[in-house]
Amino acid sequence: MFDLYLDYIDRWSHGLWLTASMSTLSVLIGFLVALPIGFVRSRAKGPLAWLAIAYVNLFRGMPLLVLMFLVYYGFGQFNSELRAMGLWWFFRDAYFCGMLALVLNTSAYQAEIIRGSLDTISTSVIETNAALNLTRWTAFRRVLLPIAFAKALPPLGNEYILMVKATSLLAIITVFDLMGEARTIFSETLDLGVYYVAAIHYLVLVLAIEWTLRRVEARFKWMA
Amino acid sequence: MKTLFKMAAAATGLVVAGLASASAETLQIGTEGAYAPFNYVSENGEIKGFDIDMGNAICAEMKVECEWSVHDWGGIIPALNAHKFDFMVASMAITEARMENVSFSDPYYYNAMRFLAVKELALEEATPERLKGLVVGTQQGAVSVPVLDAYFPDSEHKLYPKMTEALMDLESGRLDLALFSQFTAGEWLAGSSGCCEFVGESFLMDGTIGAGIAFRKQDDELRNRVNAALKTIMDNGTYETIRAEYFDFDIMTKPPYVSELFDK
Amino acid sequence: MDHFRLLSFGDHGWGDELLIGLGVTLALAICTLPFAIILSFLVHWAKVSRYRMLRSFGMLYTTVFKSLPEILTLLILYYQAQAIIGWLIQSVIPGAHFSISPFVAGMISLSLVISAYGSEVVRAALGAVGNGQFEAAQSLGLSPRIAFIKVILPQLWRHALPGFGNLWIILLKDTSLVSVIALSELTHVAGLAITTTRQPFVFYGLIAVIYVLLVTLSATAQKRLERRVNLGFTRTET
Repeated sequence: MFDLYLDYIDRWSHGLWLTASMSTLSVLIGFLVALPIGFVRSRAKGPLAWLAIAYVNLFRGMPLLVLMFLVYYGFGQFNSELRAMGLWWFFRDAYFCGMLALVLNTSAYQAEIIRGSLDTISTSVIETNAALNLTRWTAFRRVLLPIAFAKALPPLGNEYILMVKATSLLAIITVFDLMGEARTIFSETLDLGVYYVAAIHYLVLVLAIEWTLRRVEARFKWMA
Repeated sequence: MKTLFKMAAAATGLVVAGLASASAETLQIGTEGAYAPFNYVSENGEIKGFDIDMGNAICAEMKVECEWSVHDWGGIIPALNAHKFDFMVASMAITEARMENVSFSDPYYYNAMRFLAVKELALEEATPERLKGLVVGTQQGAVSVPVLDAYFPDSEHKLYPKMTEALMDLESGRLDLALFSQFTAGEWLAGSSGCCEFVGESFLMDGTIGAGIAFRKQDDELRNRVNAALKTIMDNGTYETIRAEYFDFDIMTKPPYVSELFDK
Repeated sequence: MDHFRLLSFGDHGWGDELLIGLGVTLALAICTLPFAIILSFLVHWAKVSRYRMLRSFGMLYTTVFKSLPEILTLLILYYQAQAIIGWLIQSVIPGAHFSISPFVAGMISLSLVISAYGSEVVRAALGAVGNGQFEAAQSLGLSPRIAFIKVILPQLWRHALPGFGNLWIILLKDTSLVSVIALSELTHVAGLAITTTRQPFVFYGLIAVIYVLLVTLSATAQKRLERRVNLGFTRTET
């Protein structure tokens, strides 16, 4: 089995890099997208809140596989319209389409995590802020946000790991991450050991991320 | 406990449902189902195509019942070796690499491949120099992949799980070219929006002997029976009848090998 | 409109195939859930067992199935289990063979993955019920088995409901992955339809909506169930 790794080492490395980079990027971009949505979900009412609820339910409600197909092939069907709108350069590229699908998916989950972290701050904290006569903005910036961040860190870290696993679906739209390279090598060798090599890659990657996350979370635990 | 037993019974029932039934009278045939006009699934859920008609004719000749199932192309050889079906009629090219895992019947047609290109590119020929830097798509696990790797290394290759997905990308402009069987591509061209055209000659990968029916290596007896039936069909005109339904041209003449056309 | 013809039932439309695909999706999810739940309990008990081997096994199990992508688990299971079972059957009854259908392979691999997360749900729920209940049952002379079934379990599933409810939704969506090994569930049928009709947006859009509806229905049902089960126990609204 080791030779299955060594023979194709450049492919494995390329796949590993793609998996790691795409999952990290999608989580970060997804976080930025999720921030306003999570905030709206927690605080706002009315049509804006309904839009946020619709967004979250839509992208949490469909499987990521279907979303990837929809973004890549579904929008590919409208290539002439997209060309006219000057957007084709984005949808033409499988990497961008894959990123879009990943970001849409993770931002919906992260929005709920952010909402949850904002909503579960105990009322005593809020009352204390009022008692200290802090302005709403200062209270938010100095007290609530750090607490929310500390609360959100464990589930966000979990979401990061889920994204690493989610990238395994990208091969379906021709982006060859770790899983994609494994499938290619399997189709050439028909040796089941290929999938075990891939499994070891994922185990090592996820355990490494989890170890780092645990240490980061430990530093923020007191704030949650 | 009662519910546990009920669940165990249900589990056994489900597992038994997965048992392959292989009596001498009925044979299971595997195919891909995403490769029109050779094998595809129609609107009413039936598996149809040239391969299916051939398989059914062979079964009729052997006087057995045959049942069809579709499988993902990437795993179709493992599926055969795992006894999920008895033999495969899926336009699979006979290659030495594949013969390490399965055995083949005599070829039943020559599945030459040919480039499809977007018309705007106005390529008059499909040589490695001309295709330099262009994006070529093909199906993962197909014989076109080593051809592209060996003879067209300067083009960008994109691999798709299914042929139709690559063709969709050709139509939308994500691909400049696609390399597929001349016949399936021709079928697709006929129904397409007119975006694309054939470029260059058709050719076979070196060492392919044509498309064959695949068997498990230990099933020599079955292979001989099928070969005999195949020969009978080719001699008595059944093959011609089936072929004429799908193609106006002969599909048993051997096209040139890729090494005769291009240098590595 | 042309699109309606595509989706119609009968010979010219894919509507009936899609409906059957939906049925397979639901069947897969419904058949998998009980196994996943039972496995969750088993894995949890392994993790808190007296024997170190079992504890290590439980830890290894959850680590592996939480770290590997579901699709990898599915592929390994489908091909490896087939190879192992084929070999086993051959050594017992030469000449016979046994084939794992994609449905069963999907069931097993999804159960394994879901139970890795489910064991945590069980742990939290058992913690919420508390050890006191078990001790009280023991002091009444009930055997551990009876204590579990008659005392712990009825109290447990109220706490386990949200966790398992979420896992059910994850299970529903993960059935789409089994399309990769050619199980004719909803996503796979949509793919077949697109092969001939070349309308990816229509079909993928449609099944996306179907999944969202299924998930929303499940979430609503879960909320209703939670409210009903928690009557008299906790305040559901503040």
